Amino acid sequence: MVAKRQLELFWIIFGLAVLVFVVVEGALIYSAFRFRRKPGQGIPKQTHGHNKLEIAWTIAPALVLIGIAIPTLIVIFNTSASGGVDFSRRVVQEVTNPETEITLVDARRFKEEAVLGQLIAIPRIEVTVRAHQWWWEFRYPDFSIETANELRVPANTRIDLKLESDDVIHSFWIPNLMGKTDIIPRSVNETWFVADEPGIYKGLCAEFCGISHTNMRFRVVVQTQSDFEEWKMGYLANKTAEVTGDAALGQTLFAGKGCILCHKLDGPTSLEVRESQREAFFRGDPVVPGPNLTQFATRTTMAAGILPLTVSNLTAWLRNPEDLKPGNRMMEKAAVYNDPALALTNDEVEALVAYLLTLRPPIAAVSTPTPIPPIGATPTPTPSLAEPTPEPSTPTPLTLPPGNPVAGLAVFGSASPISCATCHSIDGTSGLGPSLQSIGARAEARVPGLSAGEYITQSILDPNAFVVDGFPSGLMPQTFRESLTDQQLADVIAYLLTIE
Amino acid sequence: MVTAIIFFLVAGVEALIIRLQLARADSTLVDPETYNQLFTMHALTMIFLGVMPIGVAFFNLIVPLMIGARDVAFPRLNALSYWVFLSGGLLLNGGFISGLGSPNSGWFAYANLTEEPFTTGDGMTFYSLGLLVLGVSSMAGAFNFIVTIINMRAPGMGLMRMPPFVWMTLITSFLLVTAFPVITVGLIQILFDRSFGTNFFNTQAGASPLLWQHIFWLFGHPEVYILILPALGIVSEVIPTHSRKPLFGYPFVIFSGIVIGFMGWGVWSHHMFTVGLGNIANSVFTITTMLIAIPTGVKIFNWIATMWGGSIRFTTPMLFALGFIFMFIIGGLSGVTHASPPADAQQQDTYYIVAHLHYVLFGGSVIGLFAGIYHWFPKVTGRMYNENMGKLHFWLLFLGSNLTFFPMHIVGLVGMPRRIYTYPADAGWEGYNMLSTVGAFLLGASFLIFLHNMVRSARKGERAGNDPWDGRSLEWTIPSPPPEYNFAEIPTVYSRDPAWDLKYGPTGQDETYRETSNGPVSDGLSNGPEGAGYGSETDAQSLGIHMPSPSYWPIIVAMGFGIAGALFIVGPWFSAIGVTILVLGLYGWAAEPVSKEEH
Repeated sequence: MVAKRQLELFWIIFGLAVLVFVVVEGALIYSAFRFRRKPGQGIPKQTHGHNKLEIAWTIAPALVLIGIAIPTLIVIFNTSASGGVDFSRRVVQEVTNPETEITLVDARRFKEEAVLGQLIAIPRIEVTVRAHQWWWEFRYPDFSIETANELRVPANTRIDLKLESDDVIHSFWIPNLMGKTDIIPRSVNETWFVADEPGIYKGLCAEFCGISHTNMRFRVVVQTQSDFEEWKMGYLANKTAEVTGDAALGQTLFAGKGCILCHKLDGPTSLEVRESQREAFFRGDPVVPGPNLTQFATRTTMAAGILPLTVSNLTAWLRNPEDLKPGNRMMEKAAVYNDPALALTNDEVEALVAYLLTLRPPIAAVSTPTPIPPIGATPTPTPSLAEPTPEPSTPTPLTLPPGNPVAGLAVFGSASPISCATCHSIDGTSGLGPSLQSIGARAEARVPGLSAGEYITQSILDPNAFVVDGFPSGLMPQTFRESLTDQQLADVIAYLLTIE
Repeated sequence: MVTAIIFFLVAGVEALIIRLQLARADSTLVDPETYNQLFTMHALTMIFLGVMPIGVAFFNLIVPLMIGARDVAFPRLNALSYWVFLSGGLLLNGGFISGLGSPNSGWFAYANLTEEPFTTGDGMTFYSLGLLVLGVSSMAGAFNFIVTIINMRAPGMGLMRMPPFVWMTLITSFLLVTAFPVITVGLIQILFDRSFGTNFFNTQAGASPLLWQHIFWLFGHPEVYILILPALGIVSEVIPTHSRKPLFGYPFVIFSGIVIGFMGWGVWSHHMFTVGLGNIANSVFTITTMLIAIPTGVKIFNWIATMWGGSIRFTTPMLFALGFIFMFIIGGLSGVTHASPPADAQQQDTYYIVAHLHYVLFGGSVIGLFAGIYHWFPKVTGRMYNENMGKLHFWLLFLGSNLTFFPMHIVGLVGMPRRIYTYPADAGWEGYNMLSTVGAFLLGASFLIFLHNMVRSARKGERAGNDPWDGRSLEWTIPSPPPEYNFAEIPTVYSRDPAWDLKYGPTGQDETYRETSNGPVSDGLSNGPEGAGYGSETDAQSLGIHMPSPSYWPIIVAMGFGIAGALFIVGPWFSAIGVTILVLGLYGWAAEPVSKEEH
């Protein structure tokens, strides 16, 4: 709808421009031929000017420009995020023809008018677009959905966009739906569009944003209202197809190789985690914001809209992302591409591909939606077990409630944003992080002046304060202070102190 | 001039590589990093090292001749300006020369992409240092022209009798001295951010990256007029001369130029319609931008009116001048289409903009400069270029530029953004891009013809005589090439077309005036083509004319700038060496004794 208005305006200006073009170029060519030098011609009359003519050809272009300026100003205000100055009159006019142009109207006021019973209110959905070098994050704050590189929206709905950037300036453009709006770091731009017809629309970044600017595209999948609801329910149900065989290996690898540090695949990444990933990137740590892969296999394209999602493309991507998208952060940061010991074998790539393609709703998952908690909410507290154990004597700067090692084991396996078990084994083998076998004994001696309990607390809440030799700094999320309750923290510490 | 043409050639080759890369979808001719450096350097070189210096070269060669002066006011400052330009040009290209990597963020280098950690390496440092040094050169040159034009006009040449080209030079020079300080501030901010860890554009520390865009375009838009005004001036000379009529509506043409110069300062945000400045700001800049179309239109109408009723000779310079108007109208009209923010929202950052800017900068500035080169070639070299080759050059270039740049309008409107190193085959952009590439190679071929013509004619061309075009302004009253002191006798000016009046009398219509009059010219033009109106074949000394003595100090000072910049890449403190050379050079320059042949 926005694009349609912009196009109409363009045709008005273009029409006038063609008119001016024909008249002026015509005059130019005519006078060039008419007054070409003829043999034997004398000196032409030496005229110096004509004031009335000058005034005429000052006013004439001014009139043309006024003809362009008036519709321009109207469209500027009508297509802006906050609606139009001339609004109420428009509504009254359009009441007689509710099928057209209603979306040009500021919808908040529009709803008031709708109360009069004249118009069908148009639904609105808010989407936060966050641009990254070189991919797109789309959040639906109303539904607890976060997805990447493919924006799904219902047709005939006003999509209110809030545009944010995590790094440099980008520009959001869906040529067939709306013109560009730039995305400026540290500020929020607002815009909107309405798609009339279901279909897949191409979108792209239009402001040069670094080496892979070319490869920063996306798709807008416009669906009917019911298809959109089905997709939404599938996402919220957070169920995936059965994971067997290769895919099961892939699932293990996804955690074990550290993919999960940047890519979440079970619902939205919390804003705290995103912020900590962003800061990690600016510190140069090997963690960056990564595209959310929840329900990844429902997308039509991959790697920010540059390739169709197929087994062969996904395989090629995982083998060497640099080939397809020069400069990408995954190649630059991920352990599997930088640490020869962790490098992916062909079999492992195959397994990961198989796993990623299971990330779609199983048949009939739609019927039993289980809502997942909204972004930022704390996880459901682990139920306390009947058998209390004495509190370990760990006087920490925090006053923690008594810990329960059994409950701690559960926290160890399920903490948010990622569980401890993803990176830390308890059997002496090294993962992305050091093994926690007999951590209680070692922790005592790690940092002079810190007791075992104090050291572990520090290591969880402020992981970079002391990093064990041979392991990268900054890899471990720094958001456990927010995501764990005091009780959970105490429980997990109690558990860790019990590991032999 | 020659240096500028060489840089122009380099930038042209960069453009051809870009076009080759884009000719087909999914091309892998150059890698993305190289591509990004290429399009950045193509723009920087064309603008700062090609088009601007060619304009400045005309100021140097022609302005003193037109105002009846023996030289510019400060010849050594002029020498300094040239040598600093050369060292700035080399510095800007330092990334290619040293292999350390060139600027890669586009010529307007939007912050905060130019900050660590998004851009590493030395490219952006070369960018800021190169442009800083070039700024010194531009400012030195511009001050020189302002003083020359204001102080050194021949007696009787009031401001409103100055040839239009001199007027446009004056306006351009004022724009240069006012616009360059703005970008200098911005460049120092980038340099400090990158080298000393300041936070002018560091968003992590809370800076707004839009600050750079405001600074850049506040410089950048006047810069656009710095590029086009010399061409407007040239065309205002060429059309009257080759139509044998005075410029129609002289005061209107001049005041249009002045108005454009002033309004150029009030439109910068039209480069920023999509950044979210708000409805009011967008509306205001829409209106100021549209207003600029009025004085531009007035100029075009006056050129057409000048031709009206004239006696037009289709010489090569006239063809280029007509080509200029033709292309400039298209560029101007497409400019109006993106003066409208909602339409611009679809055009911004696409090939439509690339098309527009090439229609005004190539179809406008460059074609205008070619008109000037052909127009004054006989005056400067004393020989005539080959007219047939000149015409072939024009038609190839005219065809080639339309073939290159016109399809870009369409491919931009159907969604091709600028600054992409390749595009997928299913985008449907291949045909248009292929046309553009073919056109670009036609342009390349036309340029080879031009070079051949210039080099050959400068050595073997026919003798041109003093006044091959039946010219109207003072430069046509002296020998070709002009003697080093230009005018043996400083002329007195009684009208806007002094040379014409000498030939055809106060009415300008008297075909026999030259033979019958016995004014100051009687020993000049009437003596045939080798005679001189205000000229003489004898050398300066025997006429007792004071000439400046040559000096090496400006080169030393300029080297100081270059070395300081180059060593800054190694480490900021190393630039002290260059600064020392600079200061010593200035001292030597100031303390140089007056040379012996002077009195």
